[in-house]
Amino acid sequence: MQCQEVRQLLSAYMDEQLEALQKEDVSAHLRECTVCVAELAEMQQAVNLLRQLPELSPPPQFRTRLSEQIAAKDLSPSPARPPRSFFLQRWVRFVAAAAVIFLTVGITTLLYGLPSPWGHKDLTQNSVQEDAAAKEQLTASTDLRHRPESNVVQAPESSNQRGPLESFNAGDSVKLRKESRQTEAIPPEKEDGPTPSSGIEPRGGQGGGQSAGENDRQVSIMALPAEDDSGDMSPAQPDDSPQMGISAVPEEDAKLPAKLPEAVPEAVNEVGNAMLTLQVQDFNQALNMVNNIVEKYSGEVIRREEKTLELQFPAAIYDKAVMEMKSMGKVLESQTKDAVSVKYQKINDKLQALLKEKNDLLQKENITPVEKERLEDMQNSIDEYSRQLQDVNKLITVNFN
Amino acid sequence: MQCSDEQLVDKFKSGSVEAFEELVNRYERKVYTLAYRFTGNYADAGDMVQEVFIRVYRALPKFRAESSFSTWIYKVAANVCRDELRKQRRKKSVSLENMEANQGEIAVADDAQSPEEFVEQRDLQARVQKYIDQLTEDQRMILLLREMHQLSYEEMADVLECSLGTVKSRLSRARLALKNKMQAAGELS
Repeated sequence: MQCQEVRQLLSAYMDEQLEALQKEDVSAHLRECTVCVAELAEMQQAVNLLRQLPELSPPPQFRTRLSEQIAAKDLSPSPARPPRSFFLQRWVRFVAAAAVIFLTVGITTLLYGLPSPWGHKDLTQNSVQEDAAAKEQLTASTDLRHRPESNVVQAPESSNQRGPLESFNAGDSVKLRKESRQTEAIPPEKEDGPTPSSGIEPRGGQGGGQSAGENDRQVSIMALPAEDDSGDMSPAQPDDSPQMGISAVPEEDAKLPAKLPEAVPEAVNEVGNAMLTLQVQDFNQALNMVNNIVEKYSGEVIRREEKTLELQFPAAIYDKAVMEMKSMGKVLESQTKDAVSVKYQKINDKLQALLKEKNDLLQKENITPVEKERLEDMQNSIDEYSRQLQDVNKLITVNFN
Repeated sequence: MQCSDEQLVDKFKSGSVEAFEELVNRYERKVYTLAYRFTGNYADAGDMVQEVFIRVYRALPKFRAESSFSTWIYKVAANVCRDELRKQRRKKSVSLENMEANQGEIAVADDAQSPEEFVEQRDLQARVQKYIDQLTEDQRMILLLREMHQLSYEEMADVLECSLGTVKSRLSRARLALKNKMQAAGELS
């Protein structure tokens, strides 16, 4: 194959859209031609820049205008459908907030289904008492004081009911906070090293500091109220706000699959939390955006407590949800980096290192035969690690749909 | 359990306004992002996302699910984008100054970023948008559908109403054009 011909196929090659024979020909050419290899790398780089552009939100008046237009043009397609204003009723109950407010949100991510002893015992039997205890602790908290009921704008539903956010305190100061934690069951001989250095240590009932491998499920769950009682916070939790944790997961979550799919070689139980403190300009808009994010990413509101919202998202799209949360306002505080398992992190670290090494090699003008072999080996490893990461993601998605 | 798009469409056909609201919730950001990236203009994108959902509302009762709702709404959005360009050409009202003034990027703040890094990211996003603006209409659309909205080749063929072969060759040219523009500007290392 000539270079010109290969270059016309690089785009489809990138997307694995070539027939087997064509793909083989292109691969063979790339093994020999450093110029075309560089061309492919540059195209990939250009495309990556495009992929990194953020998703944008329409202007705030979009829904109002749409509602008005639909009403004005009498577009109702069904006689049974009475004319009405869209989008307004959900938030109309909320009082306008002060010019600058804070929103508090705790985000919980369950990366894998909770085995029943964990989920059932701790999440259901203790949930009511723990909720009550958490409320009491909120009262004593500096920035999360429990407001009198008269100051709380409540949705008709019970506060424990899951679903899109429908109630929120219209306080003058709301602080968005998300918490991070992870738990995974990985064979100790493989994964009993320390938790990621920058990460949030899984906290045990005695105040944390355990490695991920030691951090069993009960400890993770039961630790929440205990830590509040003792005030013994993990070093990675700088804020003194109460931990709005996994104890709030309703009973139905205890029904999540207790077994891993057979295709997955080892059990990976992960609980990732993150803390985020955001400053937002418009209270109602912030609420609306939270609700949109919850709905968009199939999340759920696990708990609403004063200025704290605890949300749950499927792990596979957790990062996107967090990114969108961050885009709601100015980030005052955030701990999100290790909301993945140690196993996931390790695989990803290896993958990133390989990609960097590969990229560095591709930048060279002359690649030796030894380096070409190394490139092939690296590509095989990259494919394998990518597949492993994909498995984790698939596993997560299945369990929470 | 969350309803699928198709279930929401059915509910809407049965008279559920909430189902339409939910569809708007799910797609407003996608549609708006596509419109903005395609036109490079916030005001136009705001009008276009409005138009897309008006058309969806009108046409949804006749939607027969021959393709997924997701593909269908992208098709509507692509048509609105093309119509908008035609309208602008007729009116010759596209002001370059106005477009540039609208190109302040909304960068997503990362807590790990310093203010300098944040500014750098915002500037980079603005530059990438300029490279997109320099592409042809077809190239812009196919690149956005593929790279930002992750449509498959088959879905793109459906949205753009062309063959798979056309999708491949158009996407290839679009990527090459984007790469060349970035390379010429010294963007690629």
